Amino acid sequence: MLEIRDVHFSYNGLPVLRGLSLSVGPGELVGVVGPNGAGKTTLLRLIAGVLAPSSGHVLVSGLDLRSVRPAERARMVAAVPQSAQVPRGFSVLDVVLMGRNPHLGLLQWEGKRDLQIAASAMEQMGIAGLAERQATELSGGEQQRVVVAMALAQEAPVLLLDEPTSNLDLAHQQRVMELVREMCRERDGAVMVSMHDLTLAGQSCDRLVMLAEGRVWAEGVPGEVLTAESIRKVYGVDVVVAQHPQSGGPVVLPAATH
Amino acid sequence: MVRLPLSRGLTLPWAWRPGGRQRAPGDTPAALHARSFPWWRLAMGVAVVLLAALVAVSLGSTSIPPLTAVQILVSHIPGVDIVQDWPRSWDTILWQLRLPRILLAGLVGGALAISGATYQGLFRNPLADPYLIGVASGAGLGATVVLVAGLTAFGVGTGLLPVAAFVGAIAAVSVAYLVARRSEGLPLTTLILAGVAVSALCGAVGSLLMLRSDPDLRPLLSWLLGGLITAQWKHSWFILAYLVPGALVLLAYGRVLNVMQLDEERARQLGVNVERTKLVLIAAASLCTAAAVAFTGLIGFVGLVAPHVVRLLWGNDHRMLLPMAGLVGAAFLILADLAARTIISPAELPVGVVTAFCGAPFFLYLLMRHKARM
Repeated sequence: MLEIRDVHFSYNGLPVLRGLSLSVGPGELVGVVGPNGAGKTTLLRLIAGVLAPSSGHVLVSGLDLRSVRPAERARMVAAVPQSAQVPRGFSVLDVVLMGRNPHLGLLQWEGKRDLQIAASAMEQMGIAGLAERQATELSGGEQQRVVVAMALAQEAPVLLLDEPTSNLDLAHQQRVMELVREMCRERDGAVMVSMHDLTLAGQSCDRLVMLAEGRVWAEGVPGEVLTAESIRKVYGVDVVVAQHPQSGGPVVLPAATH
Repeated sequence: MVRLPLSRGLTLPWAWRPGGRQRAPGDTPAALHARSFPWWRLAMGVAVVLLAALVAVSLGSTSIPPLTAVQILVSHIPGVDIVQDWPRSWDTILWQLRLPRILLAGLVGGALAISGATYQGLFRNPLADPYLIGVASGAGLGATVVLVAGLTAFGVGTGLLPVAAFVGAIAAVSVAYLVARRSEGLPLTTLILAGVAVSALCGAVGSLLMLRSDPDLRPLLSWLLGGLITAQWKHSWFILAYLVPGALVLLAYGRVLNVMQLDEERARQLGVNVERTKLVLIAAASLCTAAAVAFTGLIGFVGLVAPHVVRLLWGNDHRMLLPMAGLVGAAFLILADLAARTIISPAELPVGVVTAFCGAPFFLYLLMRHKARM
């Protein structure tokens, strides 16, 4: 569904992505991991159409994103950026309804259907009760869920989340990742999540892509990607990868220093 | 970014919350109301403007009863025949002095307020006003050049001054725009800085020209102060020619402006052509402002305050904010001009003094609220 073919990207002459290829199928949840500066955010912004690749292609359902109009692209790809700022002076519902923008004509107002979609997105994110509250009055974690709900309301087959759990407490981290999984299954969409928490990433994703210096370093099921060796090579840090006592999945622990 | 004061914490009875009703936690989503244009609010705004116009048309050095004033106006509709039981002079006062002036005040106030609301939304800065990126100083320089060069003496008359002001305004904004523009887009912060620099330069050149010459600068000074005393019907037609298309474009971009309140990156992700939007909004708002200042000079505070009044009352949805700000600005300037010509009658106050007198305290109040919230 989402296919990235040999994408290169340079920022101010410095190569950030160097020939990156990967694909995400429908109903698949792929986690993107890698150290700071590996190109995770750049990759997501390229797919979201905020940046244009220097060369290579980003295809959604076989369509090159560079050949479609902005509104059409926004109907195919929804993205949740890292910073979850909400605008001042709008209710939660107003903000979530902004996700319907690519589906509306210039003079068209949100109709009943848009309202239902927004309501179910808020329901999914557990913020339905906050619909009429001012978005800026909410806590950081609630605001982050508002922003995710907005992306859900966009109803795009491809959903990108850039560190969606960074501002959340443990319970909400789990909840958001569960929701992302559910959504991925229910809507049969292709979901790509960048994450710093390797254990959580391994737990929630079907497949992991580990980036290093703008290339795919390792790719596969979490157990294959998250090995002590690959993490040492990519992150330059010694870790112990243990087995989760219940799921058997990888748990990444810092190595004992003494 | 400076935070916008909204109705939260405001205890005045007329300040209900933006978005209206509070929702109980147990409400089902079915209770959510569909969004649509608040027509009744628009109708109310139009009624307020008409009421302000009626008051303004009746009051002045000669008081005309409102009903008679309406009769006089109706008698000017072609095909309508009303028995004239009023002095002929009333007709002249109304039709040739007051009405063109009120119409001009309404159009200028509306144009400044819509442009101000657009700039505040586009720059995501509540302190933005229509003169932010160079319109005022460019227009001022244009007017100065015409007067100092003595062009008005060549029989072209002062008729050239508005044209020069208009051209100067557009030129200044264009220079700021071209300076700030990058190949990958237009950074709005750079545009504001470029606007400030261009304004300073225009001001300096203007002052220099004034010092180096000795024509009668009174027309220039009265233009700089802003005023509607020279209002004529044709001024309004000129403004309408820019205001109608400009305002229609701005109103059409209401929802896009809402989405732009997120940030540029997310607006882009939501399918907004951000760079085109910036260009369209800047061009439309600048044309409206330039047309407004060409005849009436620099009238301050309308474009700053009117949008904030609407925000305080009804929230931030630009689809509602832009038209309502236009109506509030129109009513405000009509009444301010009424005050300007009646308070020290038969003399006149510059209307800018009145708008500043009402607008500045309100603005200070906004700033005090910002301080409390930062």
